[in-house]
Amino acid sequence: MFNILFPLALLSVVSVMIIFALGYDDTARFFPLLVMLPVAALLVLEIFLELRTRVKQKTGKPEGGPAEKTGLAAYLKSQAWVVLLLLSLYFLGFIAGSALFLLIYLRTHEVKWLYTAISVVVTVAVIYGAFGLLFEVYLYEGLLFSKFF
Amino acid sequence: MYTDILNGILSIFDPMVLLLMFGGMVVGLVLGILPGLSGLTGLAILIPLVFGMEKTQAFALLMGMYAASSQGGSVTAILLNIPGTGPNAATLLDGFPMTQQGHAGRALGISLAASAFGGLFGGVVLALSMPLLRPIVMAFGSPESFIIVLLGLAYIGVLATASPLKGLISGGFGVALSFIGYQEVSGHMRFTADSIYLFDGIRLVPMTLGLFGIPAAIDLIMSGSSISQAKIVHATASDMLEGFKDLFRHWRTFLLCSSIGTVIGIIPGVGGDVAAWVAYGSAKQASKHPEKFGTGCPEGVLAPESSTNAKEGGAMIPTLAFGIPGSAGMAVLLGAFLIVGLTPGPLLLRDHVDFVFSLVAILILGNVLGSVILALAATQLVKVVNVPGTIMGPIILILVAMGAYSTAGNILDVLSAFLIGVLGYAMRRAHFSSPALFLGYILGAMAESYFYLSLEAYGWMFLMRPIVLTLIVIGFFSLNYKWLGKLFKKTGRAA
Amino acid sequence: MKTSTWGKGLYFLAALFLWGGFVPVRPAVAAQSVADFYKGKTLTWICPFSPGGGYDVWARVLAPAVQKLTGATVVVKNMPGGSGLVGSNFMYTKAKPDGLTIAITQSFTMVIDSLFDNPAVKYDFKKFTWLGRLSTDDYVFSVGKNSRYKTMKEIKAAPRFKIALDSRTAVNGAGVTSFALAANLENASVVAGYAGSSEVKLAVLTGEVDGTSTSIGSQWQMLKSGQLIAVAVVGKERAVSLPDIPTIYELNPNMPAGTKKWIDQLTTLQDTGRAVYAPPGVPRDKADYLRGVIQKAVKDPAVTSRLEKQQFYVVYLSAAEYQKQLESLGLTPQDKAELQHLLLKKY
Repeated sequence: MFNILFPLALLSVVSVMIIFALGYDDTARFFPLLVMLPVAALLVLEIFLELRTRVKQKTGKPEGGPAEKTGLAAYLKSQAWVVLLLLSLYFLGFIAGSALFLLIYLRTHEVKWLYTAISVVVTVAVIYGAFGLLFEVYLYEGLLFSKFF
Repeated sequence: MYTDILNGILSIFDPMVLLLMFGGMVVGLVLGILPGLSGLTGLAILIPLVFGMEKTQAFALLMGMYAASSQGGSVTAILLNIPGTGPNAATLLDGFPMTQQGHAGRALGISLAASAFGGLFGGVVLALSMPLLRPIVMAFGSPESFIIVLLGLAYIGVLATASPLKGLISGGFGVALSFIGYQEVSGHMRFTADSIYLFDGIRLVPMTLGLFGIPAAIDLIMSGSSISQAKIVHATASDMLEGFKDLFRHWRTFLLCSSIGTVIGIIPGVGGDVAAWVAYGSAKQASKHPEKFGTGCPEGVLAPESSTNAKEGGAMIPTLAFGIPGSAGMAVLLGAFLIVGLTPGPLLLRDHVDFVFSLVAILILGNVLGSVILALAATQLVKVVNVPGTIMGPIILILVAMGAYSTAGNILDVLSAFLIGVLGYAMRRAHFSSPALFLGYILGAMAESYFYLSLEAYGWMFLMRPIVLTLIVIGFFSLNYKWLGKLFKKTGRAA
Repeated sequence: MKTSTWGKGLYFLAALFLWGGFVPVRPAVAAQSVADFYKGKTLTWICPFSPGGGYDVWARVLAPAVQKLTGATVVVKNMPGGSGLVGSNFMYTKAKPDGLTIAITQSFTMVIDSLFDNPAVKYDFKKFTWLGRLSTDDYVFSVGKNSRYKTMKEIKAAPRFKIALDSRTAVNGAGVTSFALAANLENASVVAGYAGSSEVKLAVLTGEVDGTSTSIGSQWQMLKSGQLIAVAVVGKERAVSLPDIPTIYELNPNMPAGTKKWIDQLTTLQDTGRAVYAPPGVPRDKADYLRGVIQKAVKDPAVTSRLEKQQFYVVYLSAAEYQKQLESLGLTPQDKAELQHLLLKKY
């Protein structure tokens, strides 16, 4: 199913871009159209071939290994963690945000306190020491801290 | 003159010079290892220190740093699937699978050997071509750059591991993405929906991190197992030596890719990112077992690594001959020339032959020493590969976020890296080719610009230029020689 | 009874004294506190271009001097994007006017984007707290050593005179337009799309194009080594580093008034050069303090010698004067259309 949805998604993006491109003037739209029109055609071909393979297979074979580890559910779970990371970074800044995220993640996955502590300390040290001090990258403080300090 | 050359080379063996080179290398290694930061950041930070330094010392510091940073980037690419810098993205295609199979030490060995010898190759070519520098650079204009980029695009077909159809789609989509942003030739904004963020197009670092680094991290999170799926991995000296030997086993590949790197380095503007991919594609084409590429094949690591390091030697050519930087790093180094009071150009070669050769020596030594230092550090660094995915996964995500942010201090870069991460993961699941997309993304708009420039400056006759024609012929044959060969054999037999 | 009147009187006198005493003391305390305010704090200096570029160099060379003068830690933060737009928008909409964030800018781009109604512009450049102008950028129009057309006579007689540009923007177009207008070149055509100033210069050297206009600083090495030959300085006055090169005004002493109007407009815009500013609404005392700091910093010999090594020269203008200059910049809709045409379409 995914093997059809994904090319379809790409096709919709390309189609939108083609529509935009048609409105540009010649220099701006020549190459984009030159590339995107064939790509759209190839995508249609790909979707068609996928559908044909599926129709030929009378019995639908289930995908990959245990759904728990490789299926959609697992992926969505991982994305939830990504969202958590982005939110903590946004609100607490890089140092506090990373530390908090790492703490929550590691403890949720039952990593021993010792290893958790080491990981958090090392990560924060690297962020602060290498990115912050050595290379003077401006470390975003997060919404929370900028409002209060 | 020969005494000058000798003096120049020997002058780098001064204790202060070596010390500064070493210091620069340490900084460079750390920079390379941290995703998102590259030699360019290092140069911007170190340049203020260079005021008042004697010129050999100044360049030992800067070039030592720069040489080491790309090697540091290879380490993260191999061990963590995170490209430390743009060119490293090609290394991870085979480097990371090797790590997953427990051969991290060997992969690192190849990378280090390739860096050392690739840098040597580039440096030697540089030294030998000194008298020819100007004519070489003068011969390459927009038309030549256009053909080279076009050839690079043609390699998209070669890169695809699964179906060619999916490879072409991936590459084409990448090219489409490259058109987002401001069109230099006309001043038009394309596909940006009035967002300033997209004004310059999708940025390189979020793209590399999102396309390659994040899917790997997600895998770790989802599976929980460590990067190395084999047993506990050590990078022993013998592992790395094995990688070292690989370079000699595949010496033809090494020479091919180093040459590609050097040539592409000579052409200003085409950019270092291209060299690694073209080298990878060529090596795969030329190989007896191309299907192994992408699964953890040593040649697949050797190819991009040799070309990336040889490229810097090539990039020095236009820099020294004209003061036109051959790569982004050289652009900043030009500033250093001014600071120490030198003017690159024909005068430099005439009046400061000794210094020029000391630069070549620094370039070579920097690469070699960098490899040695990294080899020593590698034994410790490799341990990261054994850490369970439950711990490494989130840490890599954080590093990716950091890296995306570091380039421009823009939170949106972090967001776009993760959105591209979704694309990258989806592409893997659907068996499309991320490398092909990436190559299309780098080269697409570039090809367009060069095309319009060539047309505007020369008219359609640009296709008739000698180098252009030669490259077209070379390209045609190298891409098709396998079935062309069969064709000739058949006709031979029939006759 | 005695105490209460005395007490009240004493109390009243004491209050008067203290109150009166406060008034003259307060300003002195305030001025001291501005300088004190900066000690130990972090001053962020935004550079809206990538590290290693010209503006980045200026910021990084000035930063230590500012640090010494204020006692604050100065951190340069690169915020590239949109040719400076990202940085300018940030300074207008997100940066706090607490005196701890300043920025360097290419005023020309900032002003032009605003005057040409770029929809992405979120700022009003006249409202920024200007701290001073660091330099004007002299542009010079040059041809290659091996170019077919080296003198103005040859250039004018050429069937087609190709001029290189990196990207087709109004700002890049200015140097070209000024030159072509002044010299009355009908044969000029722009070849745009080069990746950067290095590629532009290389194109001139290889003969792919016939000439280009970039800042003197970026061409300096080639001018010195003879690879590029300067033809005219794009500006109102001759350049200090190129005293023998005529200005575009000198190319055409009998310039028609219509042409002169545009060239004046363009060179005035160009003269806005590199400037330092802070977000709108920074309190007066801090703004004045920073202005003083910048004025002193650009005179620091350590700063000027480092800048000069890279062919950057300080041409300082005080904030007050600069503000006046900026206020006078504006275009009627008709002028705007005409100028856009000149910069982007004519050649």
